[in-house]
Amino acid sequence: MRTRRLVVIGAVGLIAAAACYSDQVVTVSELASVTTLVDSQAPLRAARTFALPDTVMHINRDGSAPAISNAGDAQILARIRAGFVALGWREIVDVRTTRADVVILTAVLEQEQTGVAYAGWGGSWGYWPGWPAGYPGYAWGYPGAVEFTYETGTLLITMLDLHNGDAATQQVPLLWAAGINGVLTSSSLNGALDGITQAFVQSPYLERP
Amino acid sequence: MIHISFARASRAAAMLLLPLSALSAQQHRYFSALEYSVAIPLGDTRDYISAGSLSGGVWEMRWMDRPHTSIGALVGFNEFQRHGDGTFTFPGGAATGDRYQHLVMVPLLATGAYYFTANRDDPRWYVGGGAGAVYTQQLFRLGLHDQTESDWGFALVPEVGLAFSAWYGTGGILSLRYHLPTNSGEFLRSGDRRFQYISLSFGLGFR
Repeated sequence: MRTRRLVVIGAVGLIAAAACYSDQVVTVSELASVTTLVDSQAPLRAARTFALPDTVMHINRDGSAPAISNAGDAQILARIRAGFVALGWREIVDVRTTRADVVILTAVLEQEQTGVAYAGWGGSWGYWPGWPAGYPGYAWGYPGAVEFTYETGTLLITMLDLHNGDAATQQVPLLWAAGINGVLTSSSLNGALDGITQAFVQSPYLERP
Repeated sequence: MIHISFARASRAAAMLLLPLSALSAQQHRYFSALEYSVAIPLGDTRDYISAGSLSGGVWEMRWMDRPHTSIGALVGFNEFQRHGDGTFTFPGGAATGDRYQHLVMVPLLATGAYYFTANRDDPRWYVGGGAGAVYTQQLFRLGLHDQTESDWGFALVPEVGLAFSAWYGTGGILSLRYHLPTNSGEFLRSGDRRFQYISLSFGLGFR
């Protein structure tokens, strides 16, 4: 009996000790991160032109008023546009006459997103003249096995393939995505802008000759 | 979340366990010891967290009724951690930010040992090992984003060491163990990891 008690107490004591480690976040800068995902297959390697709709979508499905205002949307889009142009991409402005290789969609997430695909994007975005037929009803999918979570306050930049949507599965290939996480608040935009720059820095495969 | 310091938890565990070990030793040829354990990562463990571990502990009990052999039980832990920043790549992407990686292994083993000499009052070299369950918890934090993965597996832990007597029915253990667990599940990459490491433990207890 004593032996059994020893075993139980010993196990409890050691497991409790194992649970103690110094993992506290101690500075605000520790909260920020930039994550990029890429599907480096042929469609991305062949893409040279992009379209950038002039809207930043604020995803907040619970119906409450957006906590993060649209005041910085223009600066966000300008930084994204500058990043692609600096890497050698050409912007297609008149999407009614010329189809771009990819479309860059930008969103501010005010709710957590988890998964490898996002089903509500096209419907939420609504009409945009550059969509190929059927695309607004599609979901976008990421082919890798990595599941990701984007938290509230994340600026999400996605690059969708405008040439290779799958009519059978109704999926639009997601070629590249950047999540600037934890830097977008109602009062600060600089962290998001710096994060956009960092997203391009850590994506050298986007450079075009 | 409540955080308890490792030192405080270790002191509390020692205060609890050592007196109880003494009670038990009055009636049987037991040896019960608390050990402090450091570890060196190997293989996948080294790939995940390359730094050695200074945080670990073991409680073990040995039934020593035979002159050359003992059987026993062991529960312990070794934790590995790493803080970093900057950009790192992974298959299909890259990430920049402050990151924290943590790995804790908790083996619960049945053990056995063979002692090269029979006199328990002399220092005795031994070879032995353990087999049993191992609990693995991996944590990865990037900025605000936490991911954890926990699972149970099986581990084989061969060891060599020195058992010695001290004063007034006390004794000690110096042990070098090689921890060879089964694979842990996929986490932050495709494919399993086998978290191997070598631990060096030193402890005192009652016999």
